[in-house]
Amino acid sequence: MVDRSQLLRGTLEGCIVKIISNEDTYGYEIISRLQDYGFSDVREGTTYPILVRLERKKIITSEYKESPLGPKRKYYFLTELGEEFLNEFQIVWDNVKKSVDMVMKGE
Amino acid sequence: MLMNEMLILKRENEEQITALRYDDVQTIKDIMKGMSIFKVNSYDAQVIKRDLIGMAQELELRSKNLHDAIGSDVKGFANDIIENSGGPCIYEILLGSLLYLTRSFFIWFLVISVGAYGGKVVWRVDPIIFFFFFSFAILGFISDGLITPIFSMEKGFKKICGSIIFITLILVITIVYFYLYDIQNAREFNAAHIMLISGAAYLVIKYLNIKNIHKLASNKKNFIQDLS
Repeated sequence: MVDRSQLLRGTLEGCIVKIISNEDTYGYEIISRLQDYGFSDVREGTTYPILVRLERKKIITSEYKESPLGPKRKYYFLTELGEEFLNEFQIVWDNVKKSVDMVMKGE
Repeated sequence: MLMNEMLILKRENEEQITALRYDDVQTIKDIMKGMSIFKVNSYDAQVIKRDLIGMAQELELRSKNLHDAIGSDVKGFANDIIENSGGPCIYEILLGSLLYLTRSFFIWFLVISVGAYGGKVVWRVDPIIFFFFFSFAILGFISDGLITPIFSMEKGFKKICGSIIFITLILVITIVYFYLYDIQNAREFNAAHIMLISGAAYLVIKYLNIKNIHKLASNKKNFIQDLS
């Protein structure tokens, strides 16, 4: 009944930027982290278009690096603009969360 | 100079894709068919292809394939990427159409001179033939870049709709051509001049296209350096 993907659309962007801000990371690791945090239905099909968008907006940047498992991997890094984005996201998210919580609790 | 960033990346992609599993290769091909220069500029398209190859390689290490990662809605995934990418480059579309046009003119006039006139380059024809060739080339370019990608990820009958539309339009143009062609209007012209002009124009436009790709690639991370 509730369209989870619609609800996640904007939220996931902020979560991905936060994960990249913690350490330089690659696509599969981002998905693993998101799944560990409870986003169990997130797959490459969901995250890749977001990564393309974030890179286009210059919030993140990327580079191919050696991988111990085989072919080179594309690692993502946060840019200065990305740090600004993350701070802004944190403020907006806190406000939205607070408002939704209040509505749901009927305060 | 002729090996621009896009061609280097394209060659790298062609090498990497051969090591992938058949189903992943097909999925990547289906996705890339939708990424014509009308939707995504050609440099970005090769970067996306490189990413998809990397994704398939990563999944293969975990005994999974691209379908597991994307789901059944491959078309939706491709559209999502297109929406979020940098979009097309209008200048590249213009150069692409001119490349197609000049190349087509050069080849057609060469083939007709050799095949139909036994090597003679001076013919007598109605000048309407130029409008016919021009429409034919523009239609071919639009079909490759715009009509075919719309139906490339469809299944069954819908998949061949692009070809049906193209053939129908060709038939219409041919009928109009035969209707308008009038031998009374025939004039003498030298096909060698057409070949010379279209050949020279092709080389100039090709050079401008390479310069444009350098420009498109220069604003982005240099993936070629990372891959070497």
